[in-house]
Amino acid sequence: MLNTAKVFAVALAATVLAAMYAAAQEDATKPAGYGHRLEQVRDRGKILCADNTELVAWSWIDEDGKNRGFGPDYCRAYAAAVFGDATDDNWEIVNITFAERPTVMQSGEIDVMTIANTWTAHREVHWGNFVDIVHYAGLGVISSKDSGIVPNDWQTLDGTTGCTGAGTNYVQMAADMESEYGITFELALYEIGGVRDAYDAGRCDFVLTGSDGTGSFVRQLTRSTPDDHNIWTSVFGKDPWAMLVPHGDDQWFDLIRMVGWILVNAEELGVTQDNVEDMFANSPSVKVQRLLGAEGTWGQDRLQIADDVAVNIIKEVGNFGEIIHRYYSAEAEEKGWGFYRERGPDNLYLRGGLMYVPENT
Amino acid sequence: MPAPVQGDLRSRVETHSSVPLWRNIYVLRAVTQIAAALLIVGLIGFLLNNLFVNAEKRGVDLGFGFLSLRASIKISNAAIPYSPDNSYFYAFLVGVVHTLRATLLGIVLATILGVLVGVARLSHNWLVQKIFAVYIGAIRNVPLIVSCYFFYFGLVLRMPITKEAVHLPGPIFLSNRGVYTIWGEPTASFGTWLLIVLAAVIAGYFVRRALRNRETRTGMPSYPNLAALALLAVGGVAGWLALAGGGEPPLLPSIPVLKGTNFRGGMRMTPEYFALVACLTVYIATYIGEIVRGAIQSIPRGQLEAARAVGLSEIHVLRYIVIPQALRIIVPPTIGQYINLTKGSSLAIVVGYADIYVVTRNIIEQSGSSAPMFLLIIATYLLIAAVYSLIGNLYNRSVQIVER
Repeated sequence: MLNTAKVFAVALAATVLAAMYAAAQEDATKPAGYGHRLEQVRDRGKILCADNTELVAWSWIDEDGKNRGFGPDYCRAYAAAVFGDATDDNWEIVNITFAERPTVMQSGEIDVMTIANTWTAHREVHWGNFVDIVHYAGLGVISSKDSGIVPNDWQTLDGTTGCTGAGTNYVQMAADMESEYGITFELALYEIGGVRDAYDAGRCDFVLTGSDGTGSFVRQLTRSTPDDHNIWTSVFGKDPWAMLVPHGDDQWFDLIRMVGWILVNAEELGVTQDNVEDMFANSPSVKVQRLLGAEGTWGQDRLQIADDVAVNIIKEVGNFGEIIHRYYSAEAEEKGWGFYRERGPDNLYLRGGLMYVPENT
Repeated sequence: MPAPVQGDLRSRVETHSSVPLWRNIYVLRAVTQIAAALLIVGLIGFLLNNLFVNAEKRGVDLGFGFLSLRASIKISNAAIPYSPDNSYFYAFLVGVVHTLRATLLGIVLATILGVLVGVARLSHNWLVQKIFAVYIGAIRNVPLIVSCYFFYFGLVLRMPITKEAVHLPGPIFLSNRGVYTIWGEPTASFGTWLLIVLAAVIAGYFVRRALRNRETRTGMPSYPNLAALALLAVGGVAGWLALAGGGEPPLLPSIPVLKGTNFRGGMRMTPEYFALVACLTVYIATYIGEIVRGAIQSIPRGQLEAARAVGLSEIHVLRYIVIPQALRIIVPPTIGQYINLTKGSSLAIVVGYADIYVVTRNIIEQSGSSAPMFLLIIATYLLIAAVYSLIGNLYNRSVQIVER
């Protein structure tokens, strides 16, 4: 005899089994953690990018109190990818010191780190997933002309004093440099603003910093002019810079990585901030149409972003070359937004650089 | 008559036990204490669990095994021999030694300055009194981090560069890379000389005791301290001359010489060490000064007047009447200030001094183990504070009134 209680129990068991099966199915294709970050960002209505705001060109705060620079532009691009456009409210630069990076990454409070970040095996394993390299630097040296140090001659650093940031990998690279060249020097460690002040006051003869930061560093000195210093063209070791997301969410990692590909592919295909709308509507190129999402998708639905996500991104920040030009060019230098440097390895592979990303197809 | 008393007692006990549990004061007390204990244990458990679960989720290693790996970081001007080939743990120890070196010197100097400030605040000299009042007001109301920044970037680094160093007799060189002085380089005979000095110290101790006994017994001034010092000086000088005559003196002078942009040789105090000790000393001395002033003022006026009435000099009034009584009030809060100074020393990062915290930041950068390193820092500061408190409390016990 069937009674309602039994029917109910069977129905319940069936539901639970079905739910477990569905969950198992989902687990099979979506590993644990998949999609949590995007959900969090959408709920918060804001993407949090960790950066240090004391490096003109890479990331600083302008006279209007707005975050500017290469890092913040990437943050805006991410916001445009997630929310359709970047407004004042849907992206935020969380200012951190370089020494705070491991703790910030391990706490998982930050969505993406756009700080000038050297990619090493150790950090990949301990901090989070790095996406593609956006800048190829090395450990750069700035030496004062009074010190008697000969630029690009590592031996002349022997017996002198250097300054660098506390809690950076430069502290280890300095030790490596000493053993490689058989020299010893004194090394004073400060927070990043302290390095500038101490060098300015003559506490040290040279500064170790990312070779990309050397140009803006000498411009921020207040008690001397850039001509009083030598910026070395030799660099020590490899110092590849890349954006970084917390471990454990493949969807978020893919999304952040795709934004980087879109920026580089857009430059390759000649899609710029000015012509993107026009290209979207009129370009006969299939590659352009695919990139901009007018024809077919490469997985936007799975990343839960708009098909024309590339249009939103390029409209917001331009392509990779435009971002570089904005901060590393003669115009940027004139405007006080950065400084001029040759576009070297971060040029497109078509022009002899190393920027070579897969197609958005 | 015992019987009725017993009956009385029993009836009283019965009344007592008839109080319902929820109104029984003993039960209530026990329950609230257990509840409070459970709450605290639960909270700690929750936090630890949170740490472990999240560490597991993010694949963060919480073990301490990494401490034996090669440190590979550079620490300049280490107080104990250090190279990047040493382990992370040894690098951490270097940081601990640096913190101890700064806090111990800071404690000694802050105590001396603090006592001077406290006494000067009570001076009858209007100018002295006001100067120190302004000093206390100005330093105490500025955050320590601002003082340290000012000391380092505003004063120490504004000293001339090494090429234009201020040359004082000695020679002593003052520059923004530190203070350099002449120093003795120990030679082979240094150990022998130390033994001679030690013998002179021991002999001096006995001579001092004998002379003091004589002084107490006869009332004749016998200058025990002076005699002991003279013996030490004679022993030291005679030993030195003998050893120098027999070969080489125990110490050879090492004179700082400018080579390139840095001085070589001699003794050096780095600007970072100087600035940290200076800002901690100046800051904590204001608090100790106020403690000393309060303690001295708490001694009844009548005692001072009585002491002067029996003809004690002002120095003797301080030495025999004021200080022994004031110490009882001064010591406990001063221990608290020593611990404040120790914690404040973590501002070393502002002035570029490689203390526990700065070294730890570099270790975390290199090893990725932030949680274990922070636990280690917490434990180390706790230990240092506990040791300072212990020493302070032992001293405190020795100055308290022995009551019967």
